[in-house]
Amino acid sequence: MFSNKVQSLLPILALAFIFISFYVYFSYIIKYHPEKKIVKTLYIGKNIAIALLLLAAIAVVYFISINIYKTYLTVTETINNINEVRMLKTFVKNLSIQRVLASIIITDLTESDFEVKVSLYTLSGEIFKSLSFRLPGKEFYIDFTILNFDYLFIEQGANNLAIPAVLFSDTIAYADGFELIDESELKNYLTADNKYIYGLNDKDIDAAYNFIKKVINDPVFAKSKGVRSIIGSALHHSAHRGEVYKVFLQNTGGINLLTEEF
Amino acid sequence: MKKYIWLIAILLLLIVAGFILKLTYNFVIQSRVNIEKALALLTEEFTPIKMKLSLSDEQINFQLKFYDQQNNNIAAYNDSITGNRLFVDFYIVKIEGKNLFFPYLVYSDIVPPSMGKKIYESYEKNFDGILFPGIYSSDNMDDNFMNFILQVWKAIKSGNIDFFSTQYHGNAVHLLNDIDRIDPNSVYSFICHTEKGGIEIVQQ
Repeated sequence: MFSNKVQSLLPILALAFIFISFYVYFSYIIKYHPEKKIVKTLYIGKNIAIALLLLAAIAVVYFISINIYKTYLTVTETINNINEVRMLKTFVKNLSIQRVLASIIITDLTESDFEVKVSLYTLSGEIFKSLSFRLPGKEFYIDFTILNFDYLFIEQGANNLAIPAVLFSDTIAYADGFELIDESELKNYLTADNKYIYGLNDKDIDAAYNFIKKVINDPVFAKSKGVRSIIGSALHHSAHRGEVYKVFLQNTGGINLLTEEF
Repeated sequence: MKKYIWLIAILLLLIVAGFILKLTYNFVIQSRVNIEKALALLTEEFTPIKMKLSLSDEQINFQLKFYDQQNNNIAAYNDSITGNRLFVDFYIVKIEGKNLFFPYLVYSDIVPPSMGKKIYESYEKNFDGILFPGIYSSDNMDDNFMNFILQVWKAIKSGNIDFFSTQYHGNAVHLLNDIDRIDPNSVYSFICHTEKGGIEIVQQ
């Protein structure tokens, strides 16, 4: 937005320079008018020289203005990129704690189907939402979208991101499964407890959210921004009544599922 | 003649006893696996599968190539399946902090896992009648490592992995792009993280 303002000021600046130049030029003409007995030829030659000099000055000033503007744009872009990388590093770094993404409890089990309660967790380990489903089959599948960041980020304490996607079973295909988080909930999920994310204000979180959305939908952009891979990962286990399974996000190498032992 | 019958009976008994002893010896030797020593031979990460995908007649054509621990191509599996996204399912067992990965099934977004295609038979190597998962073979593997992997593999196939480890699960990994957005010349590597238990798909 700011760069647009500068862009609209440029013609005004150029016009101002032209008017100033004319002013200086005519002042000169008046000052050395022929009535003041200056040789006419010298007078014409001098004025032409002055006019040329003024035009050259205008050209130089215009050239300098354009280049200053271009430099300004480059510097602004560089600063924005640095800020973006810093912001993303902060965002990703703050997710670096190995944490529980979801817990799955088998609440009922029959010969042909089972009931499962899925709880999704926020960054701080609080329950974001809990859902219950009845699925045919003997095994549950919980799918996550995983963003594996480049080792450059990982080395600096960053972590991968995992977003719950679909719940299905051994007899229900992925396409017929249940969506765990829809588009409208995604931002809330990612930013549910942003007070725990040090160094990020609401604007940064918006930017991070938009970044994540773009990364998921645009692999070329993702690669250019240091995302090593974006994959789906459906963890699964046979259903046992009363058993509690937890999905963990690892600091490198994706996610895994552990059966809770008592 | 009668005294010879006794002799033959004793001889037969000795032969049977010998067989039983041999089987017991094999069983004892195989079960005396040094797990820590075997796990020490595992690499931090390895790539058991590389994949190429293409689309024809609304089917996903997939080419899977299997690799051993030294990145030698040991087997291939080519097939097709209905759908838009291919899922490659791994069986993962966690033993003493290390994870073992066994790719065993493929299915799609519209084909449920129960109707998937088994792929593990492609990379099984026959060692004197024993089927060994070739993705864990390497030049520097010893008998201890081989027996350890064999025991885990047998337990998985017989559905008795519970006796070996309580920490096991499946992980079906897939690309997020539909098949029509995937370059048929791209090669995707499945990187398995032995320490962490995760799997990544990285485009080469």
